[in-house]
Amino acid sequence: MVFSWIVSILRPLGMAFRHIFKYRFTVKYPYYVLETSERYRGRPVLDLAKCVGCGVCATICPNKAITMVNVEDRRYPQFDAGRCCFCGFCAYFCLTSALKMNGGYELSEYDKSNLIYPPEKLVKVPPPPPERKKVVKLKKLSLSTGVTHG
Amino acid sequence: MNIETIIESLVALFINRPFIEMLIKVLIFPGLMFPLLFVVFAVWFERKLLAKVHLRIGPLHVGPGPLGGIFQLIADALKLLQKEIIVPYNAHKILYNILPLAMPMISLAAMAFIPVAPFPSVGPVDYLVVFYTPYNILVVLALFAIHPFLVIGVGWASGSKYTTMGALRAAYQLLAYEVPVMLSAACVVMVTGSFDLIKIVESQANIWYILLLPIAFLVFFVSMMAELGRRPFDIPHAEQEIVYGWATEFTGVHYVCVMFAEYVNLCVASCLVTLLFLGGWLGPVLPPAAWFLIKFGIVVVFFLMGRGVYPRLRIDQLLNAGWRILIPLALIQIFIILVLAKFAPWILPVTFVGG
Ligand code: SF4
Ligand code: SF4
Repeated sequence: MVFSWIVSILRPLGMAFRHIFKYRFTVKYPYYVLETSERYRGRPVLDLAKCVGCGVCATICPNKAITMVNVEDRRYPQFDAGRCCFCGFCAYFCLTSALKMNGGYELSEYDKSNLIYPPEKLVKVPPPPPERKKVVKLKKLSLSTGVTHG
Repeated sequence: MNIETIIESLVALFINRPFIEMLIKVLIFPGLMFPLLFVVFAVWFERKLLAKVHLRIGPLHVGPGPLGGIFQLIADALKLLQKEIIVPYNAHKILYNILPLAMPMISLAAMAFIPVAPFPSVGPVDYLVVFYTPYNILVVLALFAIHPFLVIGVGWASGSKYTTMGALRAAYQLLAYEVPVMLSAACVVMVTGSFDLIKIVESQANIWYILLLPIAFLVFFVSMMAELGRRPFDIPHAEQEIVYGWATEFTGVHYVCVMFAEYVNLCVASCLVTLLFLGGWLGPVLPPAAWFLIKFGIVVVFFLMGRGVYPRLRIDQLLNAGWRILIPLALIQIFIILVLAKFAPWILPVTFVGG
């Protein structure tokens, strides 16, 4: 009894010491970024040439993240990143494939109004990670141990 | 009296060996600088170590390269020093303002009685200790024992229910650890036959007391952890239950002082464990001070590790552990010493009088 009691005290300590020399689960974020997983969607990106202004995306969006706005007597979707849940319905239902879900997760802004993407901003593809950022790949994905990386 | 003679007499007064040695002792190694640097380093090291235990990276900015985060504590302290001192409406104004400032002073005073290594000198052996008395272990433990009373005073003087609860918990905790600390220190004192930390270290030349008195070491270490209020014994703080325990109401300077005192206490406790059980500065090849720092560092790691590993005890569990486990263990150790002194006195470093 005493023995198992002592073991129950020492075992977590040993595990903690082993953890010190193990890999990390987190990365140094601003300098290193994680490679996104295979099916990661990100925010929609618009192709102005393909869009016919039908408004299906605004109708289907479950969060009302898309509103139609007039630009030079044509109608284009305007996107609010603050409301979007990244479900991808807009891209899925777009008749002409003008909207595509296109990576990019660094969406935070200092000013709330910057979260609204007018059509000319929605066109821009999110830039790839800058040079100083190192992309860290997922090491393994196993059901028994969970996702491990870093 | 011309200017040259004045300068000469000043030089004679201040540039001489005893004065410089005293300056080194008081200001640099065991004195002021060592605990200060220790606090800065220990807080950073604690964050980094816990991050590693949690498989995180830990502090990253405010500091060069792998030492990222080392200046965070200085930045935090500067920020806190600028903050307004808020005295709660219900607080006892005088005690509330004085007691937190007294805490680091008493902790640093305990540090002054701890010898860390022999001074590298040619003459008679001198020790790196600010204030030498042959009863220094008594003084250090007594100064240590003042801290909980300051805690209780602070908790009452803050005049809030959380601080009062924290103070009462600190009082209960005091009952659990104070006796084992004294008993296990008494084991070492019995074996050495002296209250002098220097003699205690020197009597470990053949065998460290961690090997000779393993039970006393365990009891001393665990009850020291409780004395420091480090997790798993941070019952008086208990963030999830009573906000921040007895220190809840402190802002700015007071908070800096309280935290500083806690970490200086950690420093003193690690020094004590090193000196009492790990042979202090004894060791081959390397200089004594280096050996002391190495052992000291290892003890600090174990003290800090508890925070990352164990869940907090309840107050009744701690009292149970103190009175049902730690005190009997310490008594068993004393009994073993007596038996050894009777039947195998050659194991012990000194012969007992009438043993
Ligand atoms: S991804 Fe979903 S929530 Fe976001 S805009 Fe498209 S439909 Fe709306
Ligand atoms: S993006 Fe697609 S669905 Fe939306 S208005 Fe343009 S064409 Fe229609």
